[in-house]
Amino acid sequence: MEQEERDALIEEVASAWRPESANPIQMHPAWQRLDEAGRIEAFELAQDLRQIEAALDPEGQSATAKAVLARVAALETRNVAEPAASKAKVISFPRRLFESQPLAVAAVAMLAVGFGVWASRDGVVHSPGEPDLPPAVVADRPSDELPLDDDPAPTPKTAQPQPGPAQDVQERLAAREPETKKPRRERSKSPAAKRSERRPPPSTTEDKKLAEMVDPSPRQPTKGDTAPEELPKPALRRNAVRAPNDTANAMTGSQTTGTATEEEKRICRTRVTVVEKMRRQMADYMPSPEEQLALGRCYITLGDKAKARAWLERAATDPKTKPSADKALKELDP
Amino acid sequence: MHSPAPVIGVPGDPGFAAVLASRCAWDRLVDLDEHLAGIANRDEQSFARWITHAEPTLRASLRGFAAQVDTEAVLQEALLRVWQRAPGIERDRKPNSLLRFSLRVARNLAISEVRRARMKPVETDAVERKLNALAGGEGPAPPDPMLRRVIAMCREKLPPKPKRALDVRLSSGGGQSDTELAATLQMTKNTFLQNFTRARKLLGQCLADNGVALRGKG
Repeated sequence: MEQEERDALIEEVASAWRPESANPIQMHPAWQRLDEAGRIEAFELAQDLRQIEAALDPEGQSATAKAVLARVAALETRNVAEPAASKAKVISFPRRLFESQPLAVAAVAMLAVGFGVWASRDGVVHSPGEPDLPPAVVADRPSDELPLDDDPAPTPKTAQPQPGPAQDVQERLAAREPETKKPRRERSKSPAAKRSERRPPPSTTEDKKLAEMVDPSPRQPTKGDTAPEELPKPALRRNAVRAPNDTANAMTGSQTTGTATEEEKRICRTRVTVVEKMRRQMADYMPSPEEQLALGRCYITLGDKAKARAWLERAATDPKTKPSADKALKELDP
Repeated sequence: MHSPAPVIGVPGDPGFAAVLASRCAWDRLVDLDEHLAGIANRDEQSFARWITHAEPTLRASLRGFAAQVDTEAVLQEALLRVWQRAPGIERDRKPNSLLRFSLRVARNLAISEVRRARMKPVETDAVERKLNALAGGEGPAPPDPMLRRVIAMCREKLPPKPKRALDVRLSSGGGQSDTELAATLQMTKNTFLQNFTRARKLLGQCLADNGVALRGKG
């Protein structure tokens, strides 16, 4: 290495500028090119330079002090925006209980009701008098819900299911129902028949096994069964695997969706305001890719598609955030 | 009953000179913990004042690591962590508790960085000595008011191009790389660095001529 080049490297390393990197210790690229003597020389030079910088600064701050204070200011600005987000993440205990532990809820339901939840297709027993389910949830609501003791409608048998644990329970429950009550129109078919109508016949061995796991009492489709083929196999698999969680979310989501959206909007407004303020105050301020992605999503939440697209496209230029940004862009322009 | 006033000696008494000297020495010491309450309350101005005094001591404590870690990077990260953790620092009965804490933070960061780079360990006794000295009441010295005046005078005497290079580097406050700074002056990076080196050497020469010697090489 020539002396001139070495001197230039020492001069560079002695500056207070350090590149931004994922590592908290942001080493200067030129530092690694210096030998030990050069590094010590750069250290001595930096000491002198900081002294000169501090002496020439009206507030006595060296370039190091200014660089650190700039990082502190950025950190504090970020902290202003983040408490709102972290505060919004606080979930009340009952909601947390229902959201995070659907299996535990199912287990409690199993104990309380006295029969296996696994007999239900999606693993959760619904009470028949749910008035406040949103339309989407109602549409997905399983029609094969088992009648409870307080259900006035007995379930007449139209199909002949194979004997199984769930069927035994159904028979016992049906026997306990008072005979004077007439069956409701929508309950004219047994749960087994309704289940058969919705479920496509398992065609492959894997599908058969999967169907058996979902519903342990295999049944033959009845004559009146229609269009079971409409549901594609992957959808069946997906439904079978995800049904408990989806149902659990629907259980809590039906009551919390409205407030959560408002909360998200409020957080987004705060975040957007902070970033816009920072961009006004600091000409060279540019949020990190993660922040750009979050901003893009915020603008989607706030309904500003143009700005959302702009931020998401920026976020998509970084390899770390590209997949998420691309996904969000696709959702923006389906 | 009043106790008699302590006798500190009179002028001409040999003990008087010793007492006066120790008092003057004590006046030169700075307890930076006066800024601690402000820093704990997230006052950035207090932190700026604290850094102004603490930075030279912290930087000097990293001298032993200079060959193995980028001390400037370690120092900046240490200062940032001090800001983050300052609210949890409680003053003990010794002065400069935050400075002592920050010395440990900087040292631990430097050691971690050396380990991360799998290099040979360095001698850390210097940091321990500094910590003991600080705990014993030896604080950082206040800035020299004369230095500012002399440096400002010498700066005005610099030729135009080196002066511009120096001014741009100073005004950037560590926020821009030399490549970016050179671009603002429409220079190549090498030309910018040559001008800056020249400015620094001329400044050092001027300071030496005026009886001011910087600690390192000029």
